[in-house]
Amino acid sequence: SVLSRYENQITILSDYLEEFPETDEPVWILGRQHHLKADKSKLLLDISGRLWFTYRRKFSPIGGTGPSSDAGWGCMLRCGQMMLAQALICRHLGRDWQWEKHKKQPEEYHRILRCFLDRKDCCYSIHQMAQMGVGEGKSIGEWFGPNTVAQVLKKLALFDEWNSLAVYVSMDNTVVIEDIKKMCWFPPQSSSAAHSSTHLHRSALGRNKNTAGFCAGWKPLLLIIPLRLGINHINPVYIDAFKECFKMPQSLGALGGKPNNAYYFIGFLGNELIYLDPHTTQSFVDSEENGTVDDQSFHCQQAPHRMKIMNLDPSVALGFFCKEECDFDNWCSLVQK
Amino acid sequence: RTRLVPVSPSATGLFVPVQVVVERYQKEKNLPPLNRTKFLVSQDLPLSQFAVTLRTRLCLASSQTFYLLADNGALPNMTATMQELYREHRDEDGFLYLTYASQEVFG
Repeated sequence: SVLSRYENQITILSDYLEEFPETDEPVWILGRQHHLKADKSKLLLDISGRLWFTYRRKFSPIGGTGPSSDAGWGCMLRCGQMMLAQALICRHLGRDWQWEKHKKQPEEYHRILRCFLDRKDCCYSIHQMAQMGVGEGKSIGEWFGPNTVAQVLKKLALFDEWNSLAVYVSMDNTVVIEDIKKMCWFPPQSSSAAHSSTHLHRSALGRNKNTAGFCAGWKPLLLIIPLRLGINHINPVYIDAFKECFKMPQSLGALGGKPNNAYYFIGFLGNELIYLDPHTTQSFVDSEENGTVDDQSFHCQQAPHRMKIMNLDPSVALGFFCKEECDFDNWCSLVQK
Repeated sequence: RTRLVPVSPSATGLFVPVQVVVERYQKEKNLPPLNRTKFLVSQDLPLSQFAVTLRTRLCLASSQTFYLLADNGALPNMTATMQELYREHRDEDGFLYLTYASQEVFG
């Protein structure tokens, strides 16, 4: 009985560690501020509402003869899926949309989820991502870095007609505003953006500037910025700027991790980052006949994971979503500050 | 003929090149080593241009990551000129040391 009493205390202690501390400091989750004391349930709802992708087993073998589980190698790919899924939620449902357990969800929600099922015919499935990685020099089952996953998403988005996302991956720490504007604008009257000439781009731009606030013809932008914030360890001079990114309304969080383990970072509290962890192996889930997906295993309903920001591996990729051109202009002005 | 007259660097002040040593991060696994590590670079060259030169030498694809870090592990501004970098980060031996690395991978 003495032993069981100790065991009890140990579990209480570990629960306590997982719990958020009592503090007046705000928690930031993907551009939204939460107050622990006043509204903890809203915060937990906001975290559990994010789509959570983990290792899965028992899906159809990749490429016919490849692995049927991504346990041990797929974590960065899963983090990339989570970031993209968040972009699609912002695109179709809005950042303020909330997921609730056992509640009937809108059709768009199920359609988003179906993009990520572990089947070779789903546009952002583990199959598609791993096979697209081959073109980036990664054989199936090999570990990815944040940039590789961003490059793969960029290529896969070209085949996704439903979302017609413009994916921009910055290189050499540089975002070229003009390149982004060129990429996102397409002449609204033209049926195919691919055939538009530069001349048409200019005229479309000119006309839209006259009608202020009119944002048609702008493809929703997924902006990914791969960075290396230090050599062996994160350089402390970047910590505040890194945290600042989670406060921006366009934030999709960050891909990164601690050495060897990829996490999807969605926010912070003080000097701790809050993340979704893909390192749990669940069984493959397929869609039902009516197109809905049993989504219980796609939301993390445990206490949110946290880690000290100083333990962050310096290789990261920041994500941002700009639905309209005005969101991107706003992003540009926020970054310059 | 006048072009053959060597220009005295100290007289013009313009042609003093910056002495740079570029080293591969010791744990780097993706990027190849450089066959030459000491460079004389024009002062007004932006770092971004120098990075392009190094990328070409290493035969990198445009989608591969290539980060140049200063001695303290900071990412210098890519629009800074080599002279500005030299002023800020020069070593006491008179060289500017830069380290290059790609990104880590995660499982």
